[in-house]
Amino acid sequence: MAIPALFAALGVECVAIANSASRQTGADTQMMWWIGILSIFVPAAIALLFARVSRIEAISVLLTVGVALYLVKILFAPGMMWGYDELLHYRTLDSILRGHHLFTTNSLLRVSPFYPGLETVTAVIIQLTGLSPIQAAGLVIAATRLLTVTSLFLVFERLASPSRLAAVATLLYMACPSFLYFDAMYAYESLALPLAFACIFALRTAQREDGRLRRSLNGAGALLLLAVVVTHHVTSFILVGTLVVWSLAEFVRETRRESEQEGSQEAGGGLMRWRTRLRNLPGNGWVPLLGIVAVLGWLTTVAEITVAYLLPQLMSGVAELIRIIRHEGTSRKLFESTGGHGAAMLERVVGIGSVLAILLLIPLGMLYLRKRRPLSVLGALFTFGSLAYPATLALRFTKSGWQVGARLTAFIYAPLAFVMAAGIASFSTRKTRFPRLNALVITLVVALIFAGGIIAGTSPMTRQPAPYDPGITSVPYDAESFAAASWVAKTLPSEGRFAADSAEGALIGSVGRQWQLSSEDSVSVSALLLAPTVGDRERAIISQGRVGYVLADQRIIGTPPLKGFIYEKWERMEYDYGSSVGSETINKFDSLHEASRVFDSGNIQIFDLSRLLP
Amino acid sequence: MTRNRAIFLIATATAIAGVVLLLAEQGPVWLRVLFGLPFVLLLPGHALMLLVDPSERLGRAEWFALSLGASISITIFAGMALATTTFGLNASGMILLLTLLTLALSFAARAKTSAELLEEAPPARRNPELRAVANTLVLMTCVLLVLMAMTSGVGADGRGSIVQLWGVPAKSGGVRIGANNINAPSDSYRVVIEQEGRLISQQEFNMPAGGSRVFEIKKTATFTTRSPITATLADLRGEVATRTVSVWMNR
Repeated sequence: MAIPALFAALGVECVAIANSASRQTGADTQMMWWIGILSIFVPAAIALLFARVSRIEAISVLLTVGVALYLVKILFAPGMMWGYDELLHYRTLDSILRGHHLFTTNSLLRVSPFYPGLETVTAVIIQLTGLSPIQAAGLVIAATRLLTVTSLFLVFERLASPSRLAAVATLLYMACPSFLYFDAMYAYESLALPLAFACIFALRTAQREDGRLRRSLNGAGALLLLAVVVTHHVTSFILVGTLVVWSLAEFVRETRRESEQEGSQEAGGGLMRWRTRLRNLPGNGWVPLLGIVAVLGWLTTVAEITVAYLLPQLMSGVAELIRIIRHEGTSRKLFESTGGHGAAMLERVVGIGSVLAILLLIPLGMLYLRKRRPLSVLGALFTFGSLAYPATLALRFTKSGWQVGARLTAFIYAPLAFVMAAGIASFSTRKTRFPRLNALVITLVVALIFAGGIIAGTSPMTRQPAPYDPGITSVPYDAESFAAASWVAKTLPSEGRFAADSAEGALIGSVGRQWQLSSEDSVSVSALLLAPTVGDRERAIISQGRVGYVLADQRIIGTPPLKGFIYEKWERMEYDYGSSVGSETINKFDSLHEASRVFDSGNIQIFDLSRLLP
Repeated sequence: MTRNRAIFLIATATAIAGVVLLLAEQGPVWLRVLFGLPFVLLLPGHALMLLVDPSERLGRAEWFALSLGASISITIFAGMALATTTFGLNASGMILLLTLLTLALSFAARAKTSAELLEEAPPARRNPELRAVANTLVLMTCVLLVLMAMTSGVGADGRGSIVQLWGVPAKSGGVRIGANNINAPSDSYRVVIEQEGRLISQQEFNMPAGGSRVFEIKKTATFTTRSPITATLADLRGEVATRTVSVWMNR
């Protein structure tokens, strides 16, 4: 299996060269990037679909693809955290490392300190090895990538015995829109998801074993479940929900089997019956129960903030969907960024083609699985679970709900990949007169699904690194911004109340260790920073919001906000600045007599407003 | 190798790693990585698996996934437990706690495994491709480690010349003016410090890339608190644009 590994290495090299050129000059190197990405995926797909591979070879090919795709994420901006979510968790990690205790505060993501699983394990590695936070975080996520691929393969293998189907399903999971970047980021879901897969694998394996091994595997499953509960809210809800549904389905099936047996032969006693029913439940029934207690206990005693964090996002998505169904609201345009920047025609064709291919494979996979053999209860649940995919497609038409839909894909793709693999197996195992043509079509469909997943999960503007543009990028990964944030961390007191644009604010709030002000602090950052002058209203915002510092980035001047905003999503309701923010707006604090301009690095200025505070 | 020896090996490896990590707390990073990563990501889970599956009915892939997952979970809970104590999350405490936990799991595995099983060799799982798999994994891991080693610290796009000028009120009552040359090739600069157009100080100095300078302006009777002190940094070679700060002294 050296050929897929060789192609993967070449693919990584292609991506590195393409990214380097794009980062330095902003050159369009998308074609080379795509060649690299497909070199990683397609040879592996051909090997797993058509070559004679042993189980261990299949796992090694999958691990190679998984790690190579992780390297693609690393190569975006080597040696730094470039994802917005990564900076949010970096802040929690930094607080733990400095304070040595958990449950600190984080102005960027207030719920993060209450799910400290990821940061705890990273902090331990940093303290024991002396690695930098960025290096340790990279290693932790690399370990989670290995765990994701192996656990998922083992789960699929226990749902459908041939290793090839499990391997193809695992490979198709890598087509999930969040697999390339989002779930490779230093964020709590990246750790919780593989732990959840490992938990399901342990409980499913326990179901098929007896005696001590069964009990021990249930115990291991419980340990993994509890680790998920303290690591990520949504993953823990979905995992416990899955276990509950799985238990109920097992219970119903066992009761039905008993009633069938009653008709043909004498049934056992009542106690025996209950013992048998419980025995067949995942984790003998007690692990799902423990999950419910743990999730509710954690939510009510430690992470009460979670409900206030999640509910508004979910409700706005649902409300928007209802408005669209009633023809009361405007829907989100597909393949178009919030700022109105559209994707190329080829990307649109591939994106739509991949969705159509998936929608076609779902019924085919279901038929194949139904015909082949009686499925386990979990297998049947996975089969039905794939139907959630079309439902999330509806959320893509909403402006606020598409993010919820995008976040759910990591969970939905597990059952979806299983059913898609079965759908592909229905073609690949069929005897045809043109086997080579059949193989070519299947390879093209798998590649189409993978490319479509990347198109759905990334924007053409942010797929590759480019010179920093505050109108596009959510995190500034340029040296000047990092140097400014480092100066802030070194020179200014921690937790100073900062107002900045969303991109620089993320850096100042994490690397700079400041309190990035937002609407959650009842401060309208956009009203303060978008006003052309500092008048009475702005002075009131400063004094009431106790704004200690503001950051002005000269690169904002004249930059159209292609990502939809510069400061806050609703900023145009505060001040409609036209196509871009003007120079007088950015430089207005220079004419404010009481303000101290305490930092200047050319593009970035920081002002101390403490003399304006009462 | 019998199961008894396998358990003994894990316990010994844990004890050695624990001692090395304790002794080398300020030691070279490579040594701490060599012992620290398996100590956190492998040994606790592997010890747990010896307890869970003493007869090794599960395959290698199953052992790998559960060992890794369990190691991470055990580390999370051990870290959380330590963080709730007055000692907080610290290296020595974590090394001791993980060593004790892993040793306890190894001893539990030894105690729970029957005498016959202990002296029995686990089922042979030789696979001709295993070496190739290991080689691939090692290669990929090496690439990852080399990448991380090459890119330690803060990443940068390497463009532009970054020179910072800053000024903050000093605790003594005056102001501190500082300049940092992050990566600019130019190394000759002039700083001019003024108040209300009146020159306070002017200095020319060398500041190569990576260098920095700090100027302390002490509060004297000639300074006023009606207006800020301004500082301007100019690149004498004219490659970097002028930087300006204006700082109010503490009232």
